Parts: sequence; C-alpha cells; structure tokens
Amino acid sequence: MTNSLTMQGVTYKRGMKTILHDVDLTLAPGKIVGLLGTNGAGKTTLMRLITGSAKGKGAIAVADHSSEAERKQHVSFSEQLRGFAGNVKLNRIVAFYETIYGDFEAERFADLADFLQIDTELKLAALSKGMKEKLVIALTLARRTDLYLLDEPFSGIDSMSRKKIINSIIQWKPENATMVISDHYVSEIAPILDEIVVVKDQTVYAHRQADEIREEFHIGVEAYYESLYERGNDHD
Amino acid sequence: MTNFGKLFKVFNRSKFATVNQLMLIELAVIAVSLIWNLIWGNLSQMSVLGTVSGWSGLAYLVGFILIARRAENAFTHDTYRLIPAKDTTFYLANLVSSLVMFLYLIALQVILHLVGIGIAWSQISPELDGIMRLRDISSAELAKGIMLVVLMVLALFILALTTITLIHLTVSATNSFLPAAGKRVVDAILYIVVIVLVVRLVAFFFGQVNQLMTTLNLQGTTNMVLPIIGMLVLAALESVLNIFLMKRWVETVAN
Repeated sequence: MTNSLTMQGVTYKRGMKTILHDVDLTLAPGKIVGLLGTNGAGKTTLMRLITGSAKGKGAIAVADHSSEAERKQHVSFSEQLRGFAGNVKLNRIVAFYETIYGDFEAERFADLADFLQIDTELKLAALSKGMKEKLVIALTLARRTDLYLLDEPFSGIDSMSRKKIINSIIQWKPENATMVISDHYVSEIAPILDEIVVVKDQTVYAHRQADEIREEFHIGVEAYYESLYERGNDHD
Repeated sequence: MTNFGKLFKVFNRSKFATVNQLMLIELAVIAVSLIWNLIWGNLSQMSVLGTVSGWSGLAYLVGFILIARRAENAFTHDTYRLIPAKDTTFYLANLVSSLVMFLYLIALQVILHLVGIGIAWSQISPELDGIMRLRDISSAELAKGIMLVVLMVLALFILALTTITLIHLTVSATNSFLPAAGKRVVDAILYIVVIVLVVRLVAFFFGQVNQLMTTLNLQGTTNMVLPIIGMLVLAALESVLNIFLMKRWVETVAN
C-alpha cells in the first residue's frame, strides 16, 4: 500500500541558520501520529515543508505525489485562516473551502460544526481563540484526503472540549488516511496515538510505534518522550 | 486540482467587496460635496460632473492600492497558497482577477461621469462641438484617442501590479533566506529601484496624457502604441520572474 508520507534527506535553512537537517520519515496509511518536540524544535516547519509552505531541499512525497501542487491536493493542513479579513462570515469561509477543495464535504463540515457547536452565521473576528481553533479543526477534517496535519490544534480550547475532540478524532479520520498531530498536551493525546515522531536536535530524533514503546520500555508515550530529554539517548 | 475558473472566483470575491465598499464611500463623499455646494449656493448643472471628476482620481488611486494589497496578500498566506493549483495558474488567476476588478472600478467611474455629463449636457455639448470643429476631429478619432488612453492605463496598471509583486516576492524570498545584513542591502537596492521606476513611469504617463488632453493632438497618439506594447512585454517578463520566485523561494507567513 502507498505510504501516506515519505521524506528523504530533507534539510531546511532560514537566514543561513539550519532549522532541520537530513530528515528521513515514512508514515504508513491509516495511522494517528503524534509529532512531539519542544517549542522551536521544528514541528511546524516540518509540516510546512510537507505542504510546500516552506521551501527546503530533499524529496517529499504525499501518497506518492511529489510535486508541490499535487501534494497540496493530498494534504489537509490546519492553517489559521489569516488570509481572511475579520469581518468575513464563517459561512463565506466554508463556501471558499467548498469552491477550492474538490474533496471538501459540506455535509461532513455540517456534522463537525454541529459537534463542535460552531455558529456559521458569526464573523471571524467575533470568535474566541478556542472557537477559532474549533473552526480550523472542522475545516481541516471536512476534507476527505490522505494526510491530515494538525498543528497544535487544541491550543486555546477548554479542557472539556479538548477531551471531547480528542476522543472523537478517530470517527472523523477516513480509514486509510494518516493524521499527524503536533501538541504540547502529550498525556491527553497519548491514548489515541499509533506512533510518535520526536523532533529534536534539528532532525527526526525518534520514530516509534506507541505499542512498541509500552512493550519494550514498559512506560507510556509521555514518559518515553520526556526520557529523551532527561537521559539523552537511553532508549534508542 | 483547483482550476483557473475557481481560483478566479475566490480571488474576485474579496476584491469585489473591497471595490464596492470604496464606491459606497465615494458616493457618500460626492453627496456631501454636493450638499456643501448647495449650502454655499454654488450648485450648478456642472456641479455633479465637477465633483465626480474631482474625487475620481482619488478613487482610482485608493482602488489600485486596495486591489494590489488583496492580490499580494494571496502570495504569502496559507489560506490561498495551500490551494492545490500550479503556481502559474495561481499567479495568472490572481493577476487577471485584479485586472477585471480594476476594469469594474473604471466602469463604475464611467457611469458616474456619464450621469454628470447627462446633467450638464446642455452646457457641455456646444463647447465640445466647438472644440471638435476647431481642431477638425471626428468622433471616430476621438474614440480612438480615448481607447488608447484606456489601453495605456490598463497596461500601466498591469505593469504596476507585476512590479509590486516582483518587489514583494523578492523581499519575501530574501527575508527567508538571507542573513540580516544581506536583507538590508537587498531592501536598500529595491527602494532605489522602486523610486526610480515610479518617477519615470508616472512622468511618462502624464506626459502622454497631457499631450493628448491639452493639444488634442490625436496624430500623436500613434506614438502611444509602442510604449503600451513595451509595458506589456516588461510585465510579461516580470511575471515569469514572479512565478519562478513563487515556485522556488517564496514562503507563506508561518502559522
């Protein structure tokens, strides 16, 4: 079966400073992957390289599609809607998504909006940070595609809603699609993760199956992740 | 993949709303000016045409800035750049939509002027006849002259847009990849290039229009064809550079 994501020898520099180097990463289809790392480790940059929003060197393919335009067709990224003015109504944003993304399902969005209690009659500027994040999640998941990239999707969302969304995320993910979630709340997302990818020392430092961590090290995902920082390379 | 038509539609939406808002403001300003004239007892048949002409230049300038701002916004925001389309299609749809929205702005200004001319027709008509008889100009020649000026304005508009994009994308690309000192050098060079370009283009444009308007020397308008072609060729070359920059260097604003 085609891999959801393949990255080979990807390097990215900004202002002559290396942010990521020699990134090799392959993600199989149908997985939920936690993208972990400290602030500034390069998690967002890694996602931006996949979508083509950042320009690096190396080979990137999404569902075997390597050209930037084709990759965009197969990736749904939780972008922060900064291209819209604050006075735009949410239903206009939904119409925008429907127009430009052939795989955007209005019915799926309506279900998500209902689940997340989003009022599409509101204007973008009227939304709180948490509500805006919910809208971003709904728009991202309303597309039916191969790879979902959720960049810190729960920041600003209250803990009750966060748990509700995390617990229901499997129901919104198409069976063969892979979902990559970068988040600081490792303990909250740990139960739903199939794999983790840790970005450290400007590269993919570790890529492990969650079950493998539990069986091999007899610890949870969060403890394993923290141990990488506390004891260096003990588990690898 | 998202095709040209759909891209054109989404690019138009925000620009269309912007132009309409600008028109509402312009109409309000015209109304206030006319009321002001009425209060001071200066209202005449020519007042509407005079007021419309007076504010029209500012409307074009502000309209151009707002349309260009919307167009540039699309190059560096994920909202637009994540659209699954080839860079060439994306760029052309954005440019064509800006042009169409500028034409829309021109059409609205023409309508306002026609209203003004309609009201003042009884005064304008004899004067216009007199000028045309005096200068021996036929209606066809006058139409040709107006058409050339419109073409010149459109060519200048396209060139201005592609130049703004070139500068924006160059700055964006250098900001991403050059160290701080390198960025400052590139920015300084660009400021000088922009100032020289703007001064030269504006001087050229007003020179041409001035020649046409003051002397009504329509034979001279044939000299305008070559500069129009020149500007369009330059705009095409800049567009090729812009698409190359988009493909290789220009990143979006991070989340």
